[in-house]
Amino acid sequence: MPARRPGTARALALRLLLLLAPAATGAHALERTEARAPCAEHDPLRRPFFGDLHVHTAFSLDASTQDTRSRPRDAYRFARGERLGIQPWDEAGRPLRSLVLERPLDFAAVTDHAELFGETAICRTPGLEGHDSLVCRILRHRPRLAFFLMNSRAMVAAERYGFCGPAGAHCLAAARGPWQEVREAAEEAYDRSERCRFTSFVGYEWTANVSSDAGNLHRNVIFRSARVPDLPVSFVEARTPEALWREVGARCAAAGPDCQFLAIPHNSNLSGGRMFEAASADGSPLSREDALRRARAEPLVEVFQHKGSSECGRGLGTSDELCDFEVLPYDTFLGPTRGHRSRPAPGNFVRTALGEGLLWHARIGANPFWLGLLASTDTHLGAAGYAEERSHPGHGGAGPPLSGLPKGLPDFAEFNPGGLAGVWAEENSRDALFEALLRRETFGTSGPRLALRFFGGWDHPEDLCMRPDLAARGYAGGVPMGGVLPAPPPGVPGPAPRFAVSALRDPGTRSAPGTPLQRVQIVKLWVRGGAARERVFEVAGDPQSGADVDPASCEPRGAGFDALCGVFRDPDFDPAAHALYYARVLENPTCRWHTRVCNAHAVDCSAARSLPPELAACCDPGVPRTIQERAWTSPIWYVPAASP
Amino acid sequence: MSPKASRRLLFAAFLLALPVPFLSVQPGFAPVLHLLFYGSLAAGVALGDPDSMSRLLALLHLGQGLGWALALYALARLATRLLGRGGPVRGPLALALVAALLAVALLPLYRTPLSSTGSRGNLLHVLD
Repeated sequence: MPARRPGTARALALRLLLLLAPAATGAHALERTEARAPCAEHDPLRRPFFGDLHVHTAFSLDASTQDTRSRPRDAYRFARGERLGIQPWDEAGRPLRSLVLERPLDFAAVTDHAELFGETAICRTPGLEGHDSLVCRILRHRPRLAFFLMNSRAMVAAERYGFCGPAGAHCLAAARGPWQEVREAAEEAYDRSERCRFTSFVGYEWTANVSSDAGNLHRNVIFRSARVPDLPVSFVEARTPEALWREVGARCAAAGPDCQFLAIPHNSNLSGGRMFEAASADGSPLSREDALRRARAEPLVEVFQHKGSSECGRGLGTSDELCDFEVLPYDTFLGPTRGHRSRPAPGNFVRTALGEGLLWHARIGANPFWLGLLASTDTHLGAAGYAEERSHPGHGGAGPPLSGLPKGLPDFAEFNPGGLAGVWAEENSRDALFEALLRRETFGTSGPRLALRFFGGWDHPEDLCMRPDLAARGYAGGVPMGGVLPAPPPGVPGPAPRFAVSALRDPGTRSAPGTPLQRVQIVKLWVRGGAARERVFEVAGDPQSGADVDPASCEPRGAGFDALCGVFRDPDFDPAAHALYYARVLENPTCRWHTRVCNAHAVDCSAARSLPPELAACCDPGVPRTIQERAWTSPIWYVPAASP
Repeated sequence: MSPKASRRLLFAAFLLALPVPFLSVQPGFAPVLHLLFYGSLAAGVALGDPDSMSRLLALLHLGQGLGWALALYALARLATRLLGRGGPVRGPLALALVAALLAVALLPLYRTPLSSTGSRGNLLHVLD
C-alpha cells in the first residue's frame, strides 16, 4: 500500500503525473451535441474537475427573504473567481461582507427553487397584477413571515395564491422572466472558446416536501445543454418524482432532440426516510420498468452538503464508526421546531438505499438506486463552491437570518459550509461533464479538492499503484467509479474483483494549504440471506497515526500523507451475490468551522452560562469541535451472471 | 390619575412592551401586540388563500395573543389596585412603572422568530 508522506513534493508531482497523464489507450468517443470550439486540453484518460451543482441566488424565495441579492450572473462570476458582496447591506446598498474563491471552480449550476419564480417576480415588480396583494406586501415588509407562508404553500401544499390567476396563469407567465435570466446567465458564463475554463449548466431545484412533516424530497434538475424547456417543472405541476421525470422529459422532447436532463436528489437525511421509497407512483410494488426509469432519471445523489451528510449515521443500521460525520440530529425540516424529537433512521441515508438497490436488483433484475455520489454546497448566498471551514459565512436560506454583521456563529452550529462535486471527464465542456455525470464517474468531497480515482476489475496487478499507466490500465482492464464490473474472465478459478484506489491531498492555496490524508477505505455492501450487509476495509494510510488537531489553537499535530494508493482484493467475495464497493478517503482532523469562530471570540466553556445566545452553541457537546474532511467515490457494482 | 386611566395606561404598556412567552415556528418572547399583528396578517392570508400554514400561524398567534391580552388585563387591574394604596401618588407611580417597563424594553429581551431582522432584540427591533 504505497503512501507518500508530506514534504515529498516530487513524489506528489509524480503521482499527479501518473494520475493525470494522457495515454493512447482507453480512448472514449465523446458524444457531441453542441456547437462550440474544441477544447485545447482534451485528455482521453480524463481529469478531475471540481464544481458545485447546487447554488441558490435571490431568485430563491428563502434566499431573498434573508436579503441575499446576488443573481445568477453574480453566482457564475463568483464561481469563476470574482468577488461577491453578501448581506448585510448598508443604507446605500453596499455589502458589508464579501467573499472570493481563491481557486475558481471548473463548473457550476445555479439551481434556484422553481416553485415561486412567478410569485416572487410579481411581488417584486410594481405594476404586475397581484403586486399589491396582501401576500406580496408581507413579502416586501415582513419577509420572515413570508418565508414560512409562501414556502409552505408552494413546497408543501403545492398550491398557488389567488393572485396567480386561473390555473396559476399570471405566475407562470411571470416565471418566464427569472427562468430566462437563469438561462442567459448560464450561457454567458459558459466558456465556449478552446480554453474551456468554465462550464455552466442550466438547472433548477424541484422542491417537494411531504405534507405531514415537511420531509425533504428535493431534486436538482440539470440540463445537458442550452436546449431546455420553456419553463421549469415545479412541485406545483409535478407532485411526485415520477411525475417530475415524466413532465420534464415531455417538455424536453418538445424543446428539441438535444434537450437532456438528470435529477439529483439531496438531503435524504431530512426526508423522514422517504427519499428512497421503492414504490411506483400509484403505490404499487416497484416493477423492473419503474426501477430502470428511476435509475435513468436519477443516476446520482448528493451525499453531502450544507445541511449535513447523508452517507450514513453511526448506530443507525451500521456500526461504522466514521458514520458520525456531520449527521443532523433530526430527520425532517420540522426537526428543529420539534426539539429534535424526530431522530434520523437508517432509511434516511444513502448507504441504506444503495443496499436496498442491491436487494431490488436481485429480486426484479433492475436496481432503482443505482446511484453515483457527489456533493455540493446548497449555498443560498450565490457563493458557488464556497465550502471553506476557515471562513464560513452562513447559509443564507435555511440558517438563521442576520440582523447585521454576525456577532457570533453565523449559522446553526449543526450546519456546515458544504461540499464539492468531483467529475472525471475528458475536457471541461458540457458534453464531457454531462456524460461523466450520466456514467456516474463522480465523487463528492466535504469541501477540500481531493483528487480521487477508483478502478475495479478482475486482473488488475497487485502493483498497479506503482505503474505509470495506472489510469490506462484501470480503464482498459476494468471500470472506473460508477461502473459495473464486467463478467469475470473465463477459466479463472475462484475469481475475486480487485480494486485500485488512488487519492491525492488537496494542495490548497498559499494562504490556506491543504490537509494531509490519513487513510483510504473501501466500503463493501452485498446481499446475503435476503438482507444487505456491509463491511469497511482499510486499504491505505494509517488509521492509528495519532494525527489530530488542537481545538484550542486549531494547530494540526502529527503527520499524514500527500498521496495514498492501495490495491484491494475482496477476501470474502461471493460470485453469486450482488455487491458494490465505494471508496472513502479521510484527511487528518482539523478544526470545524464553528470552533474557529468560537476561538476567535475566546469562548470559555467553563462559563458557558454567561455566553450570549449567538455563541451558546460553542459549548454544545453534541457538536464535535473537530472534523475529518473526506471524499466519497461513486460505487462500482457487481452483478452475478445468474441475476434475473 | 383615575383608577380607570391608570389601568388603561398599564394595560397598553403591557400589551406594547411586556415580553410574553409564546410558541410559533419556534419558541419566542414578544409583546402581545406583536403576536396580534402577525396573527392578523396570517389570518388575512388564510381568509383569502386558506392553507394549513396560514391557518396555523393565525391560530397560534391570535390564540396566544388574545389569551395573553386577557391575562395582562387582569395584571393591569391588579397593579392598579395595588397602586391605589398609594393614594395621590398613584398616577406618578403608574407613570414610573410604564417608564421602567419601556426602559427595560430597550434590552434584548425579545425573541421573535418571524421578525425580519433576526430572532433576538429589543422593543425597537420588534417594532421594526
